[in-house]
Order: sequence, then C-alpha cells, then structure tokens
Amino acid sequence: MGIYHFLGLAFILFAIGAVGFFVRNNIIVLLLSVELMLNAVNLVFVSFSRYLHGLEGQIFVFLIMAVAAAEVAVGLAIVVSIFRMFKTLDISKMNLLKR
Amino acid sequence: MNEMQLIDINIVSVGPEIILLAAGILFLFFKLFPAKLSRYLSVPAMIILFCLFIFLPFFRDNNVAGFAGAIKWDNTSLLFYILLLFAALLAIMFSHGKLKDNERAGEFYFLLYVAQAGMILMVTARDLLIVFLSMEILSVSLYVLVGMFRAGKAQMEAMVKYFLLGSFSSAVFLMGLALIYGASGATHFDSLYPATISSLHMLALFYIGVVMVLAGLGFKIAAVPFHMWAPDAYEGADESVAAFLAAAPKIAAFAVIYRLGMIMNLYTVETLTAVIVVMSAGSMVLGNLAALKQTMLIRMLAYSGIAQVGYMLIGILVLPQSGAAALLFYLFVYVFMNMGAFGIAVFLSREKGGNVAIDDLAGLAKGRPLVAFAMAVFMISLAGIPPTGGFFAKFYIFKSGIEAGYLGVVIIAVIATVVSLYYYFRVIMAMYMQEKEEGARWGSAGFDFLPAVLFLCAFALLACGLIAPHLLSSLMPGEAH
Repeated sequence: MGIYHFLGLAFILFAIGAVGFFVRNNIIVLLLSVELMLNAVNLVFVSFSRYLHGLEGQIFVFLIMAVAAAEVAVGLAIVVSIFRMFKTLDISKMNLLKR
Repeated sequence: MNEMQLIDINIVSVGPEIILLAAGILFLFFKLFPAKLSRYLSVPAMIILFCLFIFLPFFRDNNVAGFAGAIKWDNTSLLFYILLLFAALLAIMFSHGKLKDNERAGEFYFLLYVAQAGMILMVTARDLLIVFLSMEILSVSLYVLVGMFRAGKAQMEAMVKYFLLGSFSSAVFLMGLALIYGASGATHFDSLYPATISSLHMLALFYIGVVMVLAGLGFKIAAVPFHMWAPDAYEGADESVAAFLAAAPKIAAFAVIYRLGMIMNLYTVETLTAVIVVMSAGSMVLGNLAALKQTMLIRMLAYSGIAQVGYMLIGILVLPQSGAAALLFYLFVYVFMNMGAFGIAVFLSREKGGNVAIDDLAGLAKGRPLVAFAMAVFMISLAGIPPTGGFFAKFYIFKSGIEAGYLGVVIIAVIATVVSLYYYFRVIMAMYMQEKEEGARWGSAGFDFLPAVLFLCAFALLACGLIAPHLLSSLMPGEAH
C-alpha cells in the first residue's frame, strides 16, 4: 500500500464529515462530523509524516487530538445548555436571529 | 534536523503571553473574594494590559526569537501587537460596570486574557504548528465568550452557530496545513518557499492547501463566503464582546495572512490572487448591499465590518509593494472607528436595555451632544470622508491597488463605498434630524466613563486624519521578515 491509499481514505473520510455537517440537523451529529474531519486530517498528517520520514506530522497529530478534546468539552457544555433551553437539539428549529 | 539548544527557548519571547495567562488565572480565583468588587475588576485588567506596552522598547529592532525560531518578534509583529492591545483595552473599557457578580467577572476577564494571549502568539508565530495552536486557543475562548451572558434563547443560538461553524472552519484550516506539510515537508515558514518544491503535482497540493488555509482564516476575518456567522454572533453576544469579536480576531488573522504572503511570496501566483480577489469583491458587494436593509444597529455594523474586510483584502493583494503599510494603517484606523461604533451600541443598550435599533438613535444629538458627535465621526470615518482617518485609510489602499494594476477591484470598491454612504448617513440623520418620541430619556448628562472613552476614540480618528502621511511612513515595514 502506497501513500495514495492512505490519502484517498483520508479524503473520503473528510468528505463524509463535510457533507454530514451540511445535511444533518442534530447538533451532536454535527459535532461527530467535525470529529470525523479532524481524524481525517490526522490520517493525512501521519501518512505524510511516514512518507517524508519527518516527525513534525506526528507531533501535529498529538496536538490536534488535545485541541479536539478541548473543543468537544466546550461543545458538549454548549449542547447541555442548549437542550435545557430549547428542549431539542435540532439546529433547524433555532432561527430566532434574523438572517 | 538541528538539535535544539536550551538557549534557543528564550522565554522572553513569550513574556506577554505568560503575563496574560498568569493574570488570567489570578482572575479566576476572584470568585473566592468575599467583597463584592466585581464592578472594579476591569481596572486591574486594564492596568495589566497597559503594562504590556513595556515590552515595546525591548523588542523593537531586536528581532527577538524563541523556541528555535518558531516565534519571532519583528517590527511588523510589534505593530500588530500594539493594535491587539488597543482592541483589548477598548473591549475591557466597554465591559466596565457590566459585570455584577464576582464569579462571572473573573471568568470574563480570564477568557478575554486567554484570547488575547492566543492572538499575540498568532501575530508572532513562524511555524504552522504554533499558528494552529494559537488560533485554537483564540477560538475556544471566543466560543465561550460569545455565550457568556446568556440571558435568552437568541444568545444560545448565536453561541451554538458560532461554535459549530468555527469548529468546521478550523477542520478545513487544518486540512490545509496538512496538505502544505505534505507538499513541502516542513512546517517552519522560512522553509515553505513554493520554489523549493520540485515536482508539479506537489506544487498543486501546496496551493490547494494554501487555499484551504485562506478559507479557515477567511472565517476568522468574516470575508464573504465565510461570513454567515458574523451578524448572528455579534447580535447574540454582549455588545462589549461583539466589539472585541469584530476587531481583534480580524487583526490576528490578517497578521497570519500577511505573514504567509510576505514569507512564502504567494501573491504572485495567479490562482491565489484570484481567490483573494473573489473574497475581496464578494465581501464589498455583499456586505454593503446587506447592510442597506438592516434596522438593528449591531447587524448593520456587522455587515459594514464585512465590507471593510473587503477593502482590507485589497491591501493583501498588493503586499510586496505599498500594500503592507496601507493594510496596517487601515487596521489601525479600523480598530478605533469600528470599536467606537460598537461602543455607542454598548452605551445605548445600557441606557435603554436590549438590542438597539437605528431609530433608537433619534434625538441623541439633543440629549447627549458629545456622544452623538463621536458617533458621527465614527460613521463619517467608516464611510471614508475626508477629515477623518477612514478617508486616508481607503485612499492609500485604493492607491496601492491601482498602482499594482488591480483596477477592476478598486472600481468595485469605489462603487461599494458610494453605496455605503446611504446606511452610514442614515445613522447621522437619525441622530441629528429626527425627534425622539415622548417618554424616552437619556441618562445623566454629567461625566461618565464610557462617553469619555468614545470621545477619545473619535479624537484619535480625527488626529489620524491630520497626521496620516507621517503615520503611514512610520508604519512602512523596515525589513521583509
């Protein structure tokens, strides 16, 4: 297996995440889609790191994981308070602000 | 790979960030404080920020570097640093007296300081890894700040929209970084010259990566295909947070775009200039047209901010020539005029409560003539009319654009400016021509902290107009990098 297999898988995962972000309405699923995109990025970094024999890509991956965890912590806190207020997690039902 | 020496770390290069984080953590402990002093917490917050100006003479002309070159302070970073400090100082002044309980106040200034530390790191970063980390530090604290004063459903909605779109855009940004790394094999800016990439398909990968990075940064500056969050987030957030959100992250993101452009010499590539032209023209057209039909002050300012970003992007297009100084001058003026206008919204929402419509400004000239005068100066400056700094900012940007041969974009910009006169002057008309309805009253006419600050901002804008040529020549970056 060459680098193209890994990159192809990563791009497919990224595309699934990006499409999922725009077609789904549940906030938790949107968070999951973003996580999928971040993990696709991790895969790209790791495979390039292996391919180029450099370490920077793998360091990136560790930091992306840490940042993703921080983002999810904030995101789930937002989800909890959203659910308390709206009694739903459907983003299409939140349209109080004018567009 | 070079082995890193201990001396390479040079802790001084992150001195401002360390001070901000240490002070921010102290603010978190403020809730243990027995006395109710939360109204006055803004005073130490301002003093500590003011102390950060101390670093200027030490860093000036010294090119202080740290962490094996991943952080570097050249004179241009120092200019961005000064702009960031001004923006944060104004935001803290606007929040003065807003926070009523100790816990909320401590958390608010903690988050503001963390965001500020992230942005300072962003303007000094010379490594993709540091850019990514600092941008995430900024974003995560901004997500919380936007929903900090959640009184109702609208605020929560603003927060969740900002959070979701923000995390999506940072994923796209990261994919861009991954492609740049894959194509060039390096993360340090100095080794990212496109010319060092030999094979052609690697070069294509590199440019796709740069476009994705520009998309991620375009979200931060609210340029057109990525602007949807801005009006909602500004309207839902507290006015002082909105003022901060409308100025500071834009400065930091422009610093990164500027750095990428200068060091990687990217804006000679036609596909990339085309991307920036589209972002710029789209922001100017869409921002100005959408601002025309707004009735709420904050939403009008949000769309006007999108249009202003369009003008600034012209400066990015002509970076290697005179664009750098013109862009810095524009950002300098923008901090005062845009945050000043948001400050008026803070003032009015405090007087009246709730969101401010443009019609609420009616009769301001009679009730509070000085505040109305300051607002008139901000509007005239945003519209770009002579005696103010805004005129010279636009003039230099357009001039450098024409010199570099981007005549089409500049023509769009001039037409957009003419259109924008309508909504800026509607505000002035409301203040000076319309009578206020019965019953509403403006607060005491005595000395107040916020109007004094706003008046100083207006004065700074007029002064910018007077000394513009001198200021511009001093903003000219001394060295390339």
